[in-house]
This record gives sequence, C-alpha cells and structure tokens, in this order.
Amino acid sequence: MTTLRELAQTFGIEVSTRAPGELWSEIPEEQFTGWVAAIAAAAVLADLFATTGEGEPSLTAVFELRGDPEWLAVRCRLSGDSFASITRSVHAASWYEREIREMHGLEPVGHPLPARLRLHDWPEGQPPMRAPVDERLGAGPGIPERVPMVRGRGVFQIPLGPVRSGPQESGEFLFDSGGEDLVAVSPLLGYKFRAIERLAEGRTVDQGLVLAERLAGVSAFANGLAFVQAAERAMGVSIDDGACTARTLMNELERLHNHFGDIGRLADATGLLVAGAQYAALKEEVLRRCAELTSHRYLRGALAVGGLTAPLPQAELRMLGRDVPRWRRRSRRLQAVLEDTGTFTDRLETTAFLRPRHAAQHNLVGPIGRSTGADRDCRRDHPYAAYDRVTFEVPVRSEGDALARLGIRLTEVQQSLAIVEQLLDSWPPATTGGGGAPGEAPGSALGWSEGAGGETLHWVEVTPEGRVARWRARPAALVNWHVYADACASGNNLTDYPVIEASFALSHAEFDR
Amino acid sequence: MALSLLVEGLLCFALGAVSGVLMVRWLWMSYVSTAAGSVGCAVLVVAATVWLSGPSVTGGLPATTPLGAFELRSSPLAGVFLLLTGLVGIGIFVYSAGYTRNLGGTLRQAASLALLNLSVGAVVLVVAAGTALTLLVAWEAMSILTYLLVTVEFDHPGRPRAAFLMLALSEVGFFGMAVGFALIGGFAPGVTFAWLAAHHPSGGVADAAFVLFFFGFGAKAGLVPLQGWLPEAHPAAPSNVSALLSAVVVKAAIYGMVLSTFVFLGPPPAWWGYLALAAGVGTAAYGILFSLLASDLKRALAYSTIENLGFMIAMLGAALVFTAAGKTLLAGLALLVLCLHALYHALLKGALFLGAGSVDVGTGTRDMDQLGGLAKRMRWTTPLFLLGAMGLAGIPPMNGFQTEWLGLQTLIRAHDLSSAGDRVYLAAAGALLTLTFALAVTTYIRIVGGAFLGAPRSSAAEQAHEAPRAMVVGMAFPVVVAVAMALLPPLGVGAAASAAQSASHAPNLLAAVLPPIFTHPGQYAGLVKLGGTFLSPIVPANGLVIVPTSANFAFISPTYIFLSLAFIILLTAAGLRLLCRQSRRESPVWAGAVAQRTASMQYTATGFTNPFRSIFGGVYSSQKEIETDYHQAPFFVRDVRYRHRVIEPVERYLYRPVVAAARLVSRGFTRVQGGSLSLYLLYVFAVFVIALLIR
Amino acid sequence: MSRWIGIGLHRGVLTTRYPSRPDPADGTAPSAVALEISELSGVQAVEAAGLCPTSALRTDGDASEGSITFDAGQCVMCGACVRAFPNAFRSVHRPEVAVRSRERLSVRATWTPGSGPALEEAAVAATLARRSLRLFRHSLHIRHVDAGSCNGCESELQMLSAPQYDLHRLGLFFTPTPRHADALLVTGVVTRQMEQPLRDTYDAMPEPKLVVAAGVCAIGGGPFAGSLMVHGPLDRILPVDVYVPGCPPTPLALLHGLLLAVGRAEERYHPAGGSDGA
Repeated sequence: MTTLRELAQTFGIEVSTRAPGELWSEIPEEQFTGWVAAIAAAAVLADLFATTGEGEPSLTAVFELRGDPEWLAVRCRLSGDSFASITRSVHAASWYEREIREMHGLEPVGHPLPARLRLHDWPEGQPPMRAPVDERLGAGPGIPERVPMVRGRGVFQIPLGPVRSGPQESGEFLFDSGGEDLVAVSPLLGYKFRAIERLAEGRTVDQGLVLAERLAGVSAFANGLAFVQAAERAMGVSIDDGACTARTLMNELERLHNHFGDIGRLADATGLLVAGAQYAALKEEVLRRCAELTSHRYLRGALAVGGLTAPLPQAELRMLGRDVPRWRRRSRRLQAVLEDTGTFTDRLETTAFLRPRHAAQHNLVGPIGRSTGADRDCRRDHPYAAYDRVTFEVPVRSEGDALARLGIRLTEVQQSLAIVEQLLDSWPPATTGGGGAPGEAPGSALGWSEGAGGETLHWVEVTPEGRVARWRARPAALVNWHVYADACASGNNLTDYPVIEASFALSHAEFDR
Repeated sequence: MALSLLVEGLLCFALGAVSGVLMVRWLWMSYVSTAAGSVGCAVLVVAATVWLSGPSVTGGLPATTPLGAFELRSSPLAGVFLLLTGLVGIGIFVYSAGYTRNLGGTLRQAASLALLNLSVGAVVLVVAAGTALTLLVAWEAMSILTYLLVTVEFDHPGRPRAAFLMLALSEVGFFGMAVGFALIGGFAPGVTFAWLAAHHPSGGVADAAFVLFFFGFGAKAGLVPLQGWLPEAHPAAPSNVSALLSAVVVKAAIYGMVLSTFVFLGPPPAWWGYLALAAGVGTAAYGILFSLLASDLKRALAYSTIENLGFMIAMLGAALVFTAAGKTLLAGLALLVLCLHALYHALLKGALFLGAGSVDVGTGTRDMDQLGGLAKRMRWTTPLFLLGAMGLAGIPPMNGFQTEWLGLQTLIRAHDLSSAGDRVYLAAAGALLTLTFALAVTTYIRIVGGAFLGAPRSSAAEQAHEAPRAMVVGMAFPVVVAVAMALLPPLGVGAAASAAQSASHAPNLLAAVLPPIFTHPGQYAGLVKLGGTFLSPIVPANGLVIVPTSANFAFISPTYIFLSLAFIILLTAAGLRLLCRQSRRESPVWAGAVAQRTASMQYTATGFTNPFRSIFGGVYSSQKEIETDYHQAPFFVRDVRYRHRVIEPVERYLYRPVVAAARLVSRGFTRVQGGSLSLYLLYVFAVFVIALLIR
Repeated sequence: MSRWIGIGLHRGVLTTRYPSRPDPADGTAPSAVALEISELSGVQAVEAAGLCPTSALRTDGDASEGSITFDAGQCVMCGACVRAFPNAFRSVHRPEVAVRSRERLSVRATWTPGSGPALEEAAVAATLARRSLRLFRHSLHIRHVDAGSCNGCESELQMLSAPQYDLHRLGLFFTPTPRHADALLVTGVVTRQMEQPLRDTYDAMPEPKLVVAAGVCAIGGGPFAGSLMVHGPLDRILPVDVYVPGCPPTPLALLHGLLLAVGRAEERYHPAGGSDGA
C-alpha cells in the first residue's frame, strides 16, 4: 500500500506539491514514456492530454492510486510533433493518444491503430486545437468507408444512424449482425463535437465556467464543479464551509436525478412502462426542487469562482428536507418491486457483459466501473467540497452485466439520499463564499468531482489576468465509452440493444465535447 | 387413339434425340431438337386429355420375355402425370434452346439435348407402362439417362458425386420396387397391370409389398430418409435438368406410389395410412426446415421440392386411412389433392428452377448472399419468379393456396371418421403440415427477397443482365399455364379429379369437389346466394367454387378471390390517382441519416432465417462459432469471423454409417479376393467339391 | 405485473393541466429574462454587457451615449444580470416564451447624454401561424434531431413524456421516422459534422412541415457561437417556424412552443416586457 509520492520516489522522479493534494513533476521527453508506463502499471492512469498553445507542445499524464488522496500530474515538453506511444503497455491510454493525434496533430509513434476518434470528414493537417479559426477550412477527404468488421456467410450490417429514433443524442452505431444476434457494434461518435476546449481559451474564468456547465446537461453541475474547483485551486481561491456544503448537496441532487432518469429509461427499454413513468416522475420532482433552490433545473448558474452565486434559500432547504423521506420511501418501494420482477431482471442478467479483467485495463469509472469491480469513487478517495464530513458507502459488484449496474445505481440512490439528509442536518450557518485568505496560485491545477457517470476530471491553466489558457475536460463518459463496443459484442441479441444502451447511459455530449 | 398419340410423342422425342446428336455436325440441328421435344410434349398434352377422359387402353409389343411382356397402358391416373410432363416439358424444351449454349462446347450441348429428349421419353414410358417389366426397364432408363444428364458438366467439382448419389439411391429404390413386383407376381407371364388391378394380394405379402413399393418409389420421390440425392443433384445439374428432375421425374415416382398402393394392392389396413402420413409429414417438415438454411438458390428450391413431395405423400397416407375406414369419397378427395398438387407443383417448381437457371446465366452465381437487386436488372425473370414463388408459397388465390387449403380441409374432414385415434392422428398431421406451410411462406419470402429485391450485394449481381429470350419464354410458359389453372379451377381440378376417381373408385368426384353450380343452381342454393353463379354465362365451366366434397363444410373460389382483389386494387389505385393532387418528390431511403449506405446494410437471405437456427437448434444441431483476430496488440480487433455449423441428420446419422459399414464389408471382401492365384484355385476346388456333394 | 398496476394507480394522476390551467410548477424555473428598460442606466447597461457570457447583451458606445441590444435568443440563463441588477433584469416565470420570428426576441435601447435609455423600434408584431399548418392542430408528429446539444435539451424533451407533462394528451408525438413527421424539432448548435444528417432529415420529411428551434444553441449558437466546429444558428440552414429560448427550455416552455407551432397558443413573451414578459 504505497502512496504516489513513494511510487514516484521508487522511479526516481522528483515531485513537488503545487495545488494542495496535487503532486507535480516535469520529466524529460526521452524518459516520459518509460516512466508513465511504469507508473501506470502500479497506479491508475486517469488522464493523458496535450497542450499546444503558445510555447512548446507538452504532454501531461494524471495518475491516482487507490488509498492515496493525492494526485500525480507528470508533464513533459515535446521537441517535435510526435511522441512514443504507451498504448501497448497501458491500454487505457489508447483513446487519449488518438485524441491527442487528431486534436493537436502530435503523432503517437507505435500506436497500433491511431485512427480518428471524433472527426469525420475533416481536412488533414488542421488539428482543431491548433488550426486557425477560419471558415474556409476547405473540404475534407470524404468520410472514410466503413469496412465491415465481421466476416461470415450471411453477416450484414444495420446502421443505427446518427439521427436516433426518439429524443436522444446523436451518434452512429453500425451493427454487424448474423440475423438476430449482435456480433459486433462499431460506434462512430463525434457528431456533436463543438471544440469546447478551444472555445474557452482566452475567455475569462467566469465565461469558462459558463462553458463548462454547458459541456453536458445532465452532468452540468459535476462538470461545472470540477472546472470551478480546478480554477479555484489554480488561482489560489479558497471556499468557505457553507459553499462547500451547498456544493456537496447539489452534487448529490444531480446524482439523484441522473440515476432516477437512467433507471427509468432502463425500465422503459424492457417495456416496463409503469416503472419508467414512476422514475421519470421522481426525476421531475428532483429537477423542480433543484430549480427552487438555484433557479435552474440543472443547477446551472449556481457555481461561482470562490463559492456560489447566491446562498441556497433556507425555506427551500426545509422543503427538501421533507422531500427526502418521501423520495426514499418511494424509491425503496420501486426498487423492491423491480428486483422482484423476474421478466425484467432476466433481460438484464448477463446482458452487456464486461469481463472484469478486460474492463480493468480501461480504468473505468463510475457505476459502470464499479459493476466490474473497479472500486473508485472520487468522493471517498479524494474528498472534495464537504465529502469528508459525511459517511456513505460505495457499492461495488463484480458481475459486470446490466443487472449489476442497475443494482449499483439503486444503492447509490439510497446513499445519496442519506448524504443529503446528513448535510441538511448539519447545515453550517455561514453564507456564500468568496472569503478566506487567498492561497498560492500555481497557475494550473486539477479539479475533480464524482458525477453520476463517474469521476469527472478537469485541468485548467489560468493566466495571471484571469483568462483561461488551456482547459482540458475529461468527463466520465470519455473513459467509459471505450468499453461500449466490447460489452455489445458479448453475445447479445438485437433486442438486447436498448437494454445495453440504457444500462450504460453514456453521454455523447461528454465524449464529443 | 390414346396410345397412338403417345407413340407419336415418343417418335418426336426420338427425332429430337437424333437431331440432338446431329447437332455436332450442323449447329442448327439444336433448334430442330428442341422443337421436336416441344412438339412431342404438346402431343403428350393432347394424349393426356384423351387419357383423362377415356377408359384404359392397352397395347404392346408382340415379343415376350421371361419376365413378362412390354406393354403400354393408358389410364386417367397416368393421364394427369402425362399432362404435367407435357406441359412442363414444353417449357423446358423452349428454355433449353437458349440455355444449353452455356454448357460449354458443342459436344456437351448435343449430348444434353439428345439425353433430354431421351429422358422425357423414358419418363413417358414409366407413366405409360402396362407391365412390371416395362415399368422397371423404363425406370432404369430414366435413372441412367438423368444421371448422364446431370453429369454433362462433369468437370465441375462435386457434380459427379452428386449424380452418383442420385444413381445409387435410385438403385436402392429400384431394388425395392423389383422385389415388390416379384412378391406380387408381376413378372409372371401374361401379368399386366390390368391383371394386377383385379387380383390383389393379401395379408403379409401385401404388407411387405406395400413397404417395398413405398420406400422403393419413395427413394425417387424424396422420401426421408432416402432424400439425400435431391438437394445434391438439383444444384449440380444444369437448370433445365433440375427442372426436369423436380417437376417430372419425382412426379413419376409419386405416380408409382399411387399406382402400387391403389391399383396393385387391395383394401389397405389403417397402418399403411399411418406410416405414409407420418413419413409424408416428416419429409415435408424436414424439407422445409433445411430449405430455410440453404444459401444456394437451387438447393433451397430442391429442399422445397422435398417439402412438397412430403405433402403429396401425406395426402396419399390420408387417402389410405380414409379407404381403410371405408370413406371412399374422402379418399378420392385426398388423391385429388395429391394429383392437383403434383400438377401445380410441377408447373411452378419447374418454372422456378428454370428461373434459377436464368439467374445463374444472368449473374454467374446462385449464392443468394451474393445476389440482390435483380428486380431492376432482370425485368422479366423477376415477376415470373415472383408468380411462381407466390404460387408455391400458398398466397391466395394462387395454386399452392388451393391445394394446401384443400389438403388441410381433407385432414379436417377426419372428424367424419369413427375412430378417435384416427381423428387425433390426422389432426396432428394437419397441425404439422400447417407449420410447414407457414415455413414455406418464410422460405419463399427469403428466396425472392434475398435474390431479387434490395440492392445488389456483389459485382456479379450489379452487372446482371436478363436471360436470352428463349429462356424467358420457356420459363413463362409453365407460369402462365399455372396461373390460368389457378384462376380457372376446372382446368386443373378436372384433370386431377378424373385421375383420383380412377384410382380410388370414388363416385362423382369432380362434382363433389367442383359443384356444377352453373348447370344446377337449384341444388346449391346456399352458394348461389353468395354469388356462385357469377360469370356463368362467360366461363364455359360447370362451376368455379372448390369444396372439400361438401359445400356446407367450407368453400373457396380462387376466381372470385382474384376478381375481388383485382377490383379492390384497381379501385384504390384509381382513387389515389384521382384524389391525390400532391406533387411527388423522391428522397433517399431513410436510414438514420447515416453517411454511407452500402449494399451490406440490408438483410441477407441467411440472416433472415438465422433465428430458426436457434429455434430449431435441436434438428440442426447448430453451433455458432465466433473467432476474433487481433492486431499485434491485444484489444485491437482486426476482424471477426462468424460461422454456423449445421448438421443434416440423415446424412450424418444414416448415410455415413451405412457407407462406412459398406466400406467395411467390402474391405472384408478384399481379403477374400486376395489376388493370389493359389487362393483362387483353392476356391475353384472348393466349389467343385461342394457341387459334387450337392449332386 | 399486477403490482405495477397497483403502484401506478396508487400514485394517482400527476399530470399538469397546462395549457388549460396554469401550472404550479410555473414558479420554479424561470423560462427567460425580460428587460425593464426604465430601471437601467447607461452605466449599468455597459456593466451588464460585461457580465453577459454570450452575445445576449451587447452595448455600443459608452456609459454616456450608446445603445444596448438584448437578444433573448442568446440568453443562457446564467442569472448574472438578474443578480447584478434585479430591478432591470427580471426573470420571467411564465412558460410562454416561444416566438415565431427571430426579431421578436431582441430589443434595442439607446441612451444619450441627456436622457436615459429608451426602447428604439416598435415591437415586431406577432405573426400568425401558416394556414397550411391547421392540419396539425390536434395531432403533431415530431421528429427530433440533436444537432450538437449538451443533452440538457434532450433531457427536457424526455421529461415531456414524464407523467407530470405527458405530451401525448395534447396530441403531440415523437416519431422515429421523418417520413411520418410533421415537425422537425432541432436542439443544439448545428455542428459541422451534424449538418449533413440534419439536412438529410429535413429532406426526408414530406410537405407541409414545420421546423422548431429549441434552446438558445439552435436559435443563435448560444455560448458556442464562433467555434470552428459550429455552423451556428439553425435559421442559416433551415427555415425556422418557432423559436423556443432557454438553456435548456423548460418542459412547459417546450409545450408552449409546440402548441404555438400548430396555432393552439399565442405569443406572449416580449424581451422588454418586464417581469411577466407580456
């Protein structure tokens, strides 16, 4: 049971502490790949991104270790436009390197398959993070032809095109089917790519926060919280207790409405419409309560650098206190009946199965990760806001199928309600933040939060004038999409597909950004 | 008159054979050959109409052999099979005028045409045989000639083996038939079929003879477990020969089954019917289940033939059960269904096989997973094929619907039987047959949809062209005749009724099944009230409504169904034309706005019936295999191979052990045939000693 | 199975009576912001424009002489102006914020050294629904396309099927195929990569058809306007019939927008209308 500090020492890396709880090291280019691969074998690679603003391009890798509340960020400056790939030793880096290649134009040498991740018909040689913002970017090479991945007699493809059937996000899935069974699924994401990270560059931190809250809708608060904490740590702004508690409360409220929505959609996917409607009604109640607390149903506009934009009104907090037992009672009742409905649980058992050892190579986060035995939760492992003051359990299962994910979400609902109750009972009398003595301003820092989908990690670099120089958003879905195709190919039918999709409940907006 | 027409037909075939051979020297002789064949078939049709109406006539050669004389005999039962031979034959010969060019080489063309004429002649002799010897000799000739026909393209891999299997199973059947004839005394001097019809064996001899005849003829009639040659030989043969096999040769075997059971053998015990019914239903189910999986167009059609033959054999079984219970009229009804289905199936399946040949010529492949999009490229073959498929699938008001409906009604009529066991047995058979009919619809949807509709799945299909005119006309003829028969039931039902009546001795069968509403409206007031006299002044028939011997039970009229459908469709189309004023705009097929729509984004024929692999997994012993290949690094999938393994039970669990046992035995014999001279001298000496001792 | 029926019955009816009666949920989330120009001075206007993260508030000139344009079609409901100047910028809680023409969402006020800000042009008159759309008055089939949203609008659209709102009772349905669709509901900025699928969907719909732009991303590009991956406002690509502002628009606002599209509701919102937006 080592800590990251000890691990770094073992490999002879010198670390310094920049923001509190964040270890930092700069490594020469030729040693970067080796060190990163070695550390990743012992710790968990949480993010790998490039920075190509002014100055030399650089790579940054972020690590965390179970049992150690600190993070380790390792940076190296690149002399040219390529770097040695670590994908062969650390598979979790595969998609990060593909993104670096297409967004920044830095070539990962040795990557087995550095295909584009999000760009479709985009001209070569114009990486979006570096290209000049120019309408006349010219035509791309055309959308590459999709080669069928599965060969066999009678195998054909079914496109589930970017425009989906209901009010859903856009993304394309190409099924390879033998007739009724789903042999493989090839997702093609990136249709909603807005270049949000590029947009934030040069804007004020407040404007960046507005963008961060609008990276995704259902996880607006988790992303906003991660961003604002990163900015605060980068600028050395401290937050007071009341704001921390309020932030924790809102984080849990967002988790509640997400989980209610996801469980409801899973019930709808199997045709259990009453359950779907009941959970949707619960989600609507949570959203309305959020609106009463912050004037926005999705908690946008509540965060500000240094605390909150306005204190949460006491009357509404009391009403929330009366809501919680009601929500608990209702959700427990629904959970009991759900788990007892054999026709429902039968559809979920062994569907969308993820082999735990296979999944472990991808460093999964959130309920999806926890369903394969990956015991990671930011609230417990890297306590932020007021999480060090509340007690809760983190459910972990190892079956890796849709039923396990449902079970985890159901348990997390109860845990969230318990946390909300604890917070309301011990609500500090202080008002909004913006107080406290300013700490060190390292200029760049990590910010994190545990969204409903999992660990959301942001990295913000702030100029002395208070403008965003680089913003890296690594929401939870960015990690979890990696295993989606594998889960689909685990021996499912076409009719299982809605169940697979609903049990993952992954956000396209978080991935495409 | 009856036989003289027959002989004229045979002479035409002889001319056709000779001119076929002469084609080697003068190419235009090929047209003479096919023309002669067609004319011969036309003569056969005329002869058949005479046979169907008149009494039996016999005539033979003066010579006699120790096994009996050569004699020909006309009978209404044979008449319907002669009719179908002639009608399909016309189509096949016209088709061959265009098709044989693709066989590669003048020699093969000549051989094919000559053998075609000779084979049809042999089939005619089988159907017209009057003595056991004639039948068997003609049967052997038919087997050998069709074997030669199939192996015309002997350099294609697998074809000689398929033809050999056909010949081998044919000989197995021949053995059964010959022993059967011997048992009932068919080879005694002066014994003709007329004599056999009057002198029925009894007891154990009859039972043994029945089994021998049933499985003997059944070998050529696709009866499970002797059906193994059908799905092999049909795809292997050139398409005109496949049509011949499927339409004509197997019907000759069915003729043999009916002949031996109803003419040679006397009042049947019920178990004959049970056996035949079970065998028939089993064959039908087996055939259709494997048709669902076949990806070769002709193989799928061949398995469908097995299904239809099973239906006919099941009707034979029903007729036996009814006869054993004394219900002669219902037995006649069952035999009518058999004959009618034989007629319709011959026409339509023959046309479908010819169509499959057109597809082969037009695209170069028969693999349905490679076809697609032929509807726009083969503008004549597609609608003809569709009509044939609709007919066989049983879409009202087409032919298959009529016979399937009538057949199921016949089985439902079992409630007239007194024995509860009979009723349950027939009802169960009916239920299983209904399942096979439903699967038949699936099969034909799959075949037509996979091969003709959608987008081309390969460059071969993309560059498809229509077949030569002769082939299209040759295919069109049986389809047109079949559709005409479907719309005017008296044409087909009349022929089948006289055949069935002569075999089952049911009185007034035609009037029972096709009530003469036009001439006797008073007797059928109920049907008249429903419009049964519609078209009576126009159509020269007695009635257009089909009933299973009782109008109070059930009734349909394909003619009226067709007219109503046509009326509704035309009315709707006219209405839409007049009322819809909107301008039309064409827009690509909606597929979620996916960027590229490729030909692989559509169901394949194999994929369409994939669920059946799981549902009927027990029958197929199907196993799914998925193999994944990775790039040099793990997790990076390069490709995935997906495969189903399916076992054909009869081939795996019957043929292979039998062949293995035969090989074992023959290996044992090689020890006896040591090859050493001294051993053989020892054998000679031993036989000499034994002969002395016996003397 | 019977237990689910019992649960459903026990819970009772949750559905709102909107539009026949106002909904108590009106009071929770504001649907838009309205400008009370008399309460805003030139100085405050310039400061407010500095606070606005999008181009919803833009000023020309300076505190003494200049103009301010308030474009509700770009307002992402961040609340900054409302918190800073609560008398001038007021939240609109009524859900009827949808309009039929883009111009109706913006107002301009100018001030000079002598006088305070005054509204410039007369309000653009409310437009009538197209006659041909009477067809859809009681049954509208909607094809939704996500052209690059943050999924907040999708979440609100999915809430329309929740028991509290239940869009089916109003004759509104989501359809999976554009062939059966009467209206195209677009959410999100139109990203470069979703432009062609969006056009294909529009082409696949038969006439007559409606287009509804839901959310400020579709109306004006929202906070993403100017990104190199974004085409921007929807009406640059397709003819838009109804604009529903909000980030995301509340479910009741969406319902009002859809009813407005088929002529069963009226335009009520004006950006310079004060707190009730009337």
